[in-house]
Amino acid sequence: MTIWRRRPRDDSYLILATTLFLATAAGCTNISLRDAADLANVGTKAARAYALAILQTSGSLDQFVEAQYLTAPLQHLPEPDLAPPEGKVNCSGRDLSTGENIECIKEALDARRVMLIKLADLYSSFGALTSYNAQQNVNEALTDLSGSIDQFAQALGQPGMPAGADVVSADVGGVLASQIQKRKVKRASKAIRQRLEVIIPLIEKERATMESLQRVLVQDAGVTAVVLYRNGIGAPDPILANNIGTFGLSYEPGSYSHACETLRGQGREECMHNFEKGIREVVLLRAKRRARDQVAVIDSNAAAIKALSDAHSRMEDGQPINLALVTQQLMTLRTIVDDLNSSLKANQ
Amino acid sequence: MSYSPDEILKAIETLYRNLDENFDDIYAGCKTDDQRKTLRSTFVASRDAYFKAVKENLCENNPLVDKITSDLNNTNQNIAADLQGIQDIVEFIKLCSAAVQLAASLAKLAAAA
Repeated sequence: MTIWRRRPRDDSYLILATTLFLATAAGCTNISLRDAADLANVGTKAARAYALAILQTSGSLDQFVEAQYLTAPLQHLPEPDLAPPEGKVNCSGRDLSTGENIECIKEALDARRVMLIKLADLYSSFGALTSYNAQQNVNEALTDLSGSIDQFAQALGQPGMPAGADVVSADVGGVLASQIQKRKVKRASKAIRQRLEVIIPLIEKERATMESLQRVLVQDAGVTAVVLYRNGIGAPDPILANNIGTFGLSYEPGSYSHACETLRGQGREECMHNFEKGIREVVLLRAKRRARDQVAVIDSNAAAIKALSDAHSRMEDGQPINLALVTQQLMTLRTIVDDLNSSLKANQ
Repeated sequence: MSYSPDEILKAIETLYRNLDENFDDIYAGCKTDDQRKTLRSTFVASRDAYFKAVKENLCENNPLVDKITSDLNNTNQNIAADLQGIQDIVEFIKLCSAAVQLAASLAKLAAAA
């Protein structure tokens, strides 16, 4: 009987001791798993967005090569030597043809795309780590343990675990598992941040090159359109409709072909020349605008990746993280991509 | 005065873009076949120089990109392994708990004595 009266106090002491012992073994960390999950989500999106932008640049390079073949005869240029070489190019070589150089650029872009996809994958795993239900596993294990203790107590001829002790123990285990999970998340966060610290300078270093490539590819697409138009291919109807329809006038498709009809001789020739020049200027202006947007995409991507690193540091220090900057960059990116898509649709 | 690779690329880009955008007008302004021939070869050379410069800038960093990619792969695998590792921690907790409960039982026995 004495044992029964004293037992509850002894168990409370032991449970407390267990808690302290295991909590010390785990080492407490105060990071927020919710922040970590948000960071994982935004990190995945940012890395994927950048990878997609690189993929688009690579696609634009293919289009550039095709355009060179298309416009060279129209511009009295020699046939370009830009076809992809057979076999693997040794990109460390110095005396490569332009076709080989372009192939190497595509390979280099692909390497960066893969790197960013790996980063996105890493963030996905990080997200899984933040949401893994460790507590449930520990509770199950502790319930199993209680059964063993009861058997052990019976073997000693003593009463088993008091009612309610399982729950308390399970909760103790749950708290502990959460701490272990947080510690793992913190360690993973540090590992990702260390990689970001290598990736960010690389992105910064190459930003000027990526932006330059975008400007050139987009401008050349505009030049190609102009060359084709000058040679009687393509109609400027959408441009004219955009500009005439705003103030109540309507544009009849194909009516541009009647431009300057009222004039005769040299006056008509000059009018046609000016009309064509105007269309050309608009196309090139649009190309410049699109190039600027594409450069903004690169800037937004670079800024988003950079902001992630700061968020990791803050989270690891147990401070609340602010993902507003990354989210803002991603929204800017979304807006730019939407604008690009709508302008492409409008031109179709 | 030395120029950075970005400044060199920018200068090459500017030359190429100017020639690309205005090629037809310049071509139309040429008076002789020699002038046209020179313009054509200049234009092609500027395009070649541009893509060579872009390639040099990007490929220079390629070994680093490869290393980072491989490093990310390893980190990813480590994190995936961490997901599995929780099971081991449970085993560890089990072991510790069993030890503490054994001590508790012994303490009970001592109290009963």
